[in-house]
Amino acid sequence: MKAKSPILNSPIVTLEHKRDAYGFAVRPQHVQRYREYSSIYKEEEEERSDRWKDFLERQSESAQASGQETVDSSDKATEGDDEAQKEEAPATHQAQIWAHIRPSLRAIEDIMNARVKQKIAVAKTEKLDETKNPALFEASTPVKPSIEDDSEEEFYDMERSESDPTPQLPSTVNASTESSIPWKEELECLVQGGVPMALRGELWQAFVGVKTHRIEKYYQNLLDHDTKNDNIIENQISQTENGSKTSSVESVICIPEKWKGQIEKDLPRTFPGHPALDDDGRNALRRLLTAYARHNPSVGYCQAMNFFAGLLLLLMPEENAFWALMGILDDYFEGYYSEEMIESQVDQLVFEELVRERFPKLVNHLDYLGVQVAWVSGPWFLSIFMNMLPWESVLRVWDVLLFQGNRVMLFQTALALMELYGPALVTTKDAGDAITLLQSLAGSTFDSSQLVLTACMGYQNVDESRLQVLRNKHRPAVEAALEERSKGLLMLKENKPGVKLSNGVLSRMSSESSNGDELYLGVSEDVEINSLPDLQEQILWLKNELCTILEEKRSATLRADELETALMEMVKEDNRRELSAKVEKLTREVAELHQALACKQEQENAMLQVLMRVEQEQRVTEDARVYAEQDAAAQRYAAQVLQEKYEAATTSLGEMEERLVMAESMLEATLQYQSGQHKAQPSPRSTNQEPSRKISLFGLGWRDKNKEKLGEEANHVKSSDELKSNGLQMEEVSLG
Amino acid sequence: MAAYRADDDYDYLFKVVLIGDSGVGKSNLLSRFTRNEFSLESKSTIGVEFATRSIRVDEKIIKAQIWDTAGQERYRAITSAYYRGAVGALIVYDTTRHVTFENVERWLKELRDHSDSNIVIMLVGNKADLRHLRAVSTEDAKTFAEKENTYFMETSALEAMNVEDSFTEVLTQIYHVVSRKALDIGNDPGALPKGQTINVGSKDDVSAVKKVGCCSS
Repeated sequence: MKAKSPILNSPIVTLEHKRDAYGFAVRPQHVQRYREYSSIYKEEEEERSDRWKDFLERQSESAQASGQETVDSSDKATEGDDEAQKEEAPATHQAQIWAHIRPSLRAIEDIMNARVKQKIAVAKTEKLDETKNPALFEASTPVKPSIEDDSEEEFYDMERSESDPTPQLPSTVNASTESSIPWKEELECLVQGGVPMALRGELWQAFVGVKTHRIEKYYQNLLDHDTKNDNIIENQISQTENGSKTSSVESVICIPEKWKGQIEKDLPRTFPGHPALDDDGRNALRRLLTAYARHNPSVGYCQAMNFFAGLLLLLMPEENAFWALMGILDDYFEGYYSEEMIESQVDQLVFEELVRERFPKLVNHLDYLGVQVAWVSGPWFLSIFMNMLPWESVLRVWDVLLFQGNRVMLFQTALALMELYGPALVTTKDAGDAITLLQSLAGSTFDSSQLVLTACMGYQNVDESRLQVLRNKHRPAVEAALEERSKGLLMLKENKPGVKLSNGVLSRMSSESSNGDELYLGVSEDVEINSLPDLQEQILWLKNELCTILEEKRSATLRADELETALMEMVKEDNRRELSAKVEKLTREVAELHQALACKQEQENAMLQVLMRVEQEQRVTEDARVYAEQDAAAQRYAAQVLQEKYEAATTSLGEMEERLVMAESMLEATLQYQSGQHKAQPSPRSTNQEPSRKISLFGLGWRDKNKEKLGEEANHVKSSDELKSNGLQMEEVSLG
Repeated sequence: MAAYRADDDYDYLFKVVLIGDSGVGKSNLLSRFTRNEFSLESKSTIGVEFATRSIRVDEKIIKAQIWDTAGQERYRAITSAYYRGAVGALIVYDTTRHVTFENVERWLKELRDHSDSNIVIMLVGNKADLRHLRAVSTEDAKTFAEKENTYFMETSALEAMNVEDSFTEVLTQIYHVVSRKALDIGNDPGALPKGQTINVGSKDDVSAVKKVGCCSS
């Protein structure tokens, strides 16, 4: 017996250049990007393998310490039974139709199983109360706490409430949950970082709670009807109606296999060309989808399930894949893929509201373009991002989604995508461009770690309880629309008898055909019973019209707002232009002023220079004046000195004259005395006259003598000059 | 025949939907028309898929926004939301499976319930290359189309037969409806002021909008 079937998680060795590590086709335009990221993926994978290994080793140590070893041998026995019963299946699939999760993951499995049991218990009690009203049942789901809200107390509560159906487990679960609390956060971190490829299949089973869901031989029994019931189905045309979710054997038999055709159509259209989905793989896929449709006939088969089943088959043995698919569709996506697809429509309205709340500007733009977010996000949600994102990213989103145990991750991822690509979307010019761009950008989200972290970290407050509130708010609208739709069909039938006939034929024909016709069958039954008055129909129709008109009005208002803001912006821009013109003008003026200022400064400088020169000159003239004054003073002084000398000379001259007068008088006196002596002698008078003349002559003679002296000196100089000139003359003569 | 050309320059924008039973080849018709591709190994369409292409009609460039819808019955509740604002539709059946032709009537009703009354509809019988497997005669389909007042054409996405023509015919007819409308208003269609919204029907708010500069540009 092989340990693992060939389609199990063994990485595909022979890679085509257009297929990724999982064997999925890579779009031609993304081959290059994928190549760039493949090495990153490899590194990340190695890193997370180490982290998980470390984590699991620690877990197994503590698990062994607590001594929980619950391997029921009955499973192993049935494994053998399965193989024996499935003789028509090829050997490779027989090899491992059911497999247990490895012991090292047991602790994780237990905690997740506890969650599943809790859900089942809650569902059971609710079913007792309101078995006949699936809509109400949906509405009451918020009671279910999500794993994030799980607290220790809730775990205990759960164990108390559901101790009856599984009596052998509570003790072990109790032990494991107690120990689980400290490492639950660590586990969450690890899951957000990605699950290693080798562990993915088993961990997903653990997350979904495959072991808890599993009922012995159930899968086999579902498939066994295949051969027995084919002829019964032909005869028994639908007596059941949708709604009741009983999975009893009888109802399974009675449901016509109307989904069969659709499954057959989709088998080759599920991962076409994938190396693991050969004929055997497709057969397994067929069994899986058929078994699920029989298990839950109210849902049956819905396109998109084929992709989920295909992915699960790639990761785990067939029966495990069935229980995983069942867990995902019944627990995580209840009401999503049913005939009416109510929940998926509700989720779209919820998502639109969230986007509206988070990205008002983007939504404004999309409204302007006439794009509804749901046009793009609808397929994202319905396919759980399969074929919408690169595979690495899809698997990473699934890791978290399955771990969380609800659809929260769908919203978180979609919001993260809006966050990542919203800015680019705002630049688009029409609806088509916006949608194409968003689709292609989403398809190239190779950075899966960034995506998952943005989703988990950035939108933590988008949680299950919040979503449930929003779902309850939007559900009535979807249900009303559905009702109107079915009434619309009815109205048409009643009003047009001609068409009615052909429709009747048509509905019978198509009931044998591929498409599910429950709606139609229900309608044709109603036709006989129902006799709705025209008035009511008209009211409905008018309501419908009103709704559309209101919607139009809303979009018109939004558009008006948009235009107004655009206008405002334009006006602002205009103002800006004016202002900038003014500013320009002002700057020009300032520049001119600056220039003028510079001129003035230059002039001032020149003036200053002139002034300085003038000052210098002034100083020079001052100096000159000072000198002149000093000169004048000196001259004055000299003049004074000369004056003094002159005065002294005049005084001395005066003295001399006085002395002279004295001397003359003395001389006269002497002469008079001498003459007195001479009177006695002849004629004294004549003698008298004579001496006076002589004295005066004497006086004058002194003066003359002085004069002569001066003249003599001058003459002397003159004579020396003459001499010289004479000498020169003589020289001239001698020369001549 | 119109050439593939840049998408950012056009005179008219028309929304067209592709409907019909599962597996009749809607997705391949779309890929053949918009990318000239065909794949025998195509995958199921979940919800809706979308593509655009521009063609030239009467010197006008027409950009087609084409919505390819999931064929499974239960998806109708979701896909009918996409009919809103559509001015053209191709109802596709498989010429080798009679049941898909029988269902056309229901698709037609579905479409008329959820879209504008002036919508241009073409009945398309695909997989016409599988002549030996033919289960729906051309005459039957033609008669039906005449009765329902729709256009009709048989195509093969595999052989690229009539694919271009069918889409072009639908787009041209839509263009004529729009032009007539414009004439009714009393204007030459060429003289329409730029930025004017031309409503084919009263409900329409997306399609047939002349290219308008976006405020945020």
